[in-house]
Amino acid sequence: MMELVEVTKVYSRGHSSVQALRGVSLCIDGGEFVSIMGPSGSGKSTLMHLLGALDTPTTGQALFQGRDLHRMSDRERSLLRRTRIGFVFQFFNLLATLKAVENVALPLLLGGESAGKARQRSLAALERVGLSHRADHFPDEMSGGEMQRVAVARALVTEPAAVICDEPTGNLDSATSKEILSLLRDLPEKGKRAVVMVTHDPTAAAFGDRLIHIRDGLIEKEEENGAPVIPVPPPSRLRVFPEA
Amino acid sequence: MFSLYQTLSLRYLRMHRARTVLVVLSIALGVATWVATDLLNQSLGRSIRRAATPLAGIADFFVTNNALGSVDVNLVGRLARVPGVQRVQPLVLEKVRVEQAGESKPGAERAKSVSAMLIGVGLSQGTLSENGLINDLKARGIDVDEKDLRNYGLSLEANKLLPVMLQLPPPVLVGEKMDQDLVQGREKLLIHVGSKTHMLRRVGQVRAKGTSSSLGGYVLFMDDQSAAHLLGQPGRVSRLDITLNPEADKEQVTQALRTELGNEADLQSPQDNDRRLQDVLKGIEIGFKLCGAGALVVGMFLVYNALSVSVAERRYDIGIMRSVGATRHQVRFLFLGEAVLQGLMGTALGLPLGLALAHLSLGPIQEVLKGLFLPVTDKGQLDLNGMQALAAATAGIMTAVVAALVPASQAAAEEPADAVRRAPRVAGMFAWLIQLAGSVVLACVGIALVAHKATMRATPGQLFLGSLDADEVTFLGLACLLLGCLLATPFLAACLTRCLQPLMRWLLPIEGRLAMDNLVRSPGRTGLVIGALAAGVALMVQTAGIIRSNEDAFLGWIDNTVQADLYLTSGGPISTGGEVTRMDETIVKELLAPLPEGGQLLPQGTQLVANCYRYVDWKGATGGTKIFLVVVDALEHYRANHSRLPNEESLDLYRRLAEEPGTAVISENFSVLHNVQVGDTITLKGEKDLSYRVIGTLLDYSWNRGTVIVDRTQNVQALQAQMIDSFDVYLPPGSNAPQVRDQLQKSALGARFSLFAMTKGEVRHHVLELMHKLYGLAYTQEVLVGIVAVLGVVMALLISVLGRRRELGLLRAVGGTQWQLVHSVLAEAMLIGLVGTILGILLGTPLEWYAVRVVLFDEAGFLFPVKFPWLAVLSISLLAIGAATLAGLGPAIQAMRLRIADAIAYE
Repeated sequence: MMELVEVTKVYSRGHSSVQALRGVSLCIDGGEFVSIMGPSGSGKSTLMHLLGALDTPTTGQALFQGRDLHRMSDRERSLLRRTRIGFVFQFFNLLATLKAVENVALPLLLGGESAGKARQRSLAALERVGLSHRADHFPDEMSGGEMQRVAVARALVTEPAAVICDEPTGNLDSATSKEILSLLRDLPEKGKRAVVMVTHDPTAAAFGDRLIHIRDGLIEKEEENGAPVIPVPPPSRLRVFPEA
Repeated sequence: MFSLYQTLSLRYLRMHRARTVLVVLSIALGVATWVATDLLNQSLGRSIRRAATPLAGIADFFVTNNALGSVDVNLVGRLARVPGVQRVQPLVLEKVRVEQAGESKPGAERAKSVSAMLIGVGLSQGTLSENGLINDLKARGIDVDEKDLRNYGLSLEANKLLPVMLQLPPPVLVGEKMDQDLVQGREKLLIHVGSKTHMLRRVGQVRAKGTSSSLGGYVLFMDDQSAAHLLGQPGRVSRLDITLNPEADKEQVTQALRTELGNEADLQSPQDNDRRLQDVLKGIEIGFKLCGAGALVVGMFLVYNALSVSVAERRYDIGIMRSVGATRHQVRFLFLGEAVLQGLMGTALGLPLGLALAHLSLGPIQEVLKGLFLPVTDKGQLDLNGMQALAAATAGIMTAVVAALVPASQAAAEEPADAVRRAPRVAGMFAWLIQLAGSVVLACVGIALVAHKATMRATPGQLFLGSLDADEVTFLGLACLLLGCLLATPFLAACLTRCLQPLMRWLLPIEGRLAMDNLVRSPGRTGLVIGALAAGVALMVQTAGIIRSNEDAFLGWIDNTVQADLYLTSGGPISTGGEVTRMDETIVKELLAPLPEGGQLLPQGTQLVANCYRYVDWKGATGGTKIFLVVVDALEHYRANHSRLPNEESLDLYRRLAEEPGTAVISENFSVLHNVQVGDTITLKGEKDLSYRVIGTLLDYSWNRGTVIVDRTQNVQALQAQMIDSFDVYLPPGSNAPQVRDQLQKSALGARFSLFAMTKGEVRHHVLELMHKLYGLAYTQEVLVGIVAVLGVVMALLISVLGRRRELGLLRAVGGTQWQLVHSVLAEAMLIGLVGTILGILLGTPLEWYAVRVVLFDEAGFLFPVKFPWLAVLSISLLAIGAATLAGLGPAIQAMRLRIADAIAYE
């Protein structure tokens, strides 16, 4: 479903440049729950942005359902995110002025769906995360766990093919984290939806089917159910950046 | 401290280049408006003074008789004998028409003549030596070579010695410009005075410069007696200029001069003259000054806004600075220093911009004044002196500093621990309360000043704080009230946006709804910008309302009272002061005479009503001013209009004017302004004091200081009313007025006198055009205020995009397209425009009412019905909302370019 082929990402800041990814190849299938771990500055957020079509690689290919993100227009990528990808962020990223149900309905309303229908679908999504009773509350009236559930409901409301989670439990206590992780664990459906979770919490990462370790812009190793399976060789693309 | 500025302030300003540029531009526009209005006021004042008293020179007093139009030249000898008087210079000034080169035959078909100023000075009085005369003329702006002056003197003497039959045409010195344009080397030239044509002989040249540039370069220069003779008024001159001995006691000489003059003429100092002119033009001057100050105030609010946001943004930095030992003073001075720097940059840009703005506006403004008041024909000078530049620079920098005081204090008050750990700010309520209290205080002061003005009106001459008169107090009061309302706009805007929110949530798509929510959330950021926009809209609505109310009243007046089919003048339309020349009353015979080729210029049965107009000095209840005197053929007017306006009651007053000697009719505004009632007696200075019993009042909008109408037949001698300014032409039924007009203008007579005829419809159009030109000036200034406000909108939206960065990033993350982001920012801009417009209309409507019912009534005595300018308000609303929306385009593009990953990145 999602594939990165020899992907590099360079951020230019004036005269200097920072190489966030140095040639990463990765394939995630539908129905998989993949955890990505790594220390700060390892490139995991960049990896997540590429997987989620929030950004495009400097070199290499990022494919979503076989389509090259680099060849897509900004509008096409927006539509892709709106309909095929859901996001869950560490700090929930809910709009303070919208009620829970309106926050969930945001992608639908952006897609031009009628307010009534959007509300109906959003309520269903909230029901799925067990929060329909808080539908008409504003974010500042909710706990952290509730807000993250709303974020999960928003990620699910369009029935996306993939859900990308960036440190979804980073701002929650351990009990609430467990609840959210259980919720996320149930999201992949065999052969259908993929879930990618970026985290640096080993407990959270253990919820995944597959665990990818990333360091200095490279995939260090991959584990499946705790056992290392693939030692990853250094990428040939490194030659493109001799200064690195 | 400088290195601190360099490290923190300059870098911050560089990093936020767009915002810095907007702040600098706001101040620059404010300073530019200030400078431009100051320069225009100064230049126009100078031009008008020159136009009102041409060739003023260095005289200490002028002796005039405005009602009569001339004074007896024998006064020269009498006044020269008054102890302390150094010299008395007689002057003749009158517009004449000069035929153009190549078509010198009088009355030739299609011959054209142009207007020129005939200047006569006392060459033959023997009061000046030739050199003395040259210097005296130089002081008046007339530059003449000694050789030319001697030539002139010799020609004059030769003519005196020769018998009449052998005499050559009278000599004349011709203005340089006119010499090049018209005379083109001819020795003889023809001039028309009234219905008479005279031939003159060119013997040399003069150059009209400096103070006499108001005459426009088309001048004919002669001795006073020859000029008076040409004008058909031998022994009379337009003015006497008196110069005193430097050591003379001015008070004493003044008294002696007044005694000597008695009732024959007025003695005026240049200062008296200025005061009277200022009284007429004060409204425009104050309007200019207020607009300049208004632009600076609006700019100040925007600087305040930008700096407040800057403080909020840099709170964390402030915390770190304080943690590492910065004192509160250092923090405060850091922000004040930034403001001073931006003020300096704004001023540096504003000074040349203001000069350019003044240069661009001078021409159109002079055109308006020329059409409405006086023949302002000089090009005007715009000199920015050191004091003015210093005042503007101080105003620009002080604006920035005053605007920075509160944000800088807020920054200094930050507790380092709170700022570093980003604890929410609990303050704000106090600042809001201060702002609210300030707005209430200002509004109360404004109302109190406006109320105080009413008591000042009752006591003429009373000054407020020792220097402000009633009008200035009114404008100061209104300015305070407007400023108070401006300060209150964040609250009003917050209330209005909350009221509009449910409707907008229902009406707008999600992008618009988010924009509305954002607007409700941030009254501090957008409130002042909305206020600035509202101020601009309010001023425009007020002006549009005044125009609409004036327009309706003026048109009603014209439709009800102006009934002639044609209005006939010589040289140009009646209100164009610089062009019109007077006609001899004998022209009537020529107009009605049969043509050699058969037929008549004017159809059989045409009635002509002659009018003479004078601006007369008047010492009314409110001090010295100039009133409008209309000397009309009252009985002819009555007869001509009787069949056309059988039910018009005021018409009967004209019959009574003709039938009851020594009577006058006054305009309603004259009655109000000068507290003169029916039955009272008013006195004008003619050959002697002329007393008139007021027999009635009528509606007349001719002049903002009041109009007096008297019968010409009875006063033709007493007021020297043989020369006619205009004729009302009443054609017999069935006549085609435009056809008669064309025939008249194309005729030989029409060409000779440059006859200018306007139909009733054209008069109507002309009046409207002048009115729109006058108020167009007000619009121009208000548009400048509007531009500053729109810059504020750009700034508020740039700040909004920064503030909404994460929200906008999130929208993109969950599938919002770039265009949806653009829509959201533009929607916010549009909503700012909408709320500002609504508040502006709410504020502008009472302002219009006050301006029309109170200010105009106090100023001019005109009581117009208040009309709401629906169409104009619709246009202004569309313009304001459109401009605000367009202002959002830049920030919208910036939002569009946001990198999603950056926007949603965590701290």
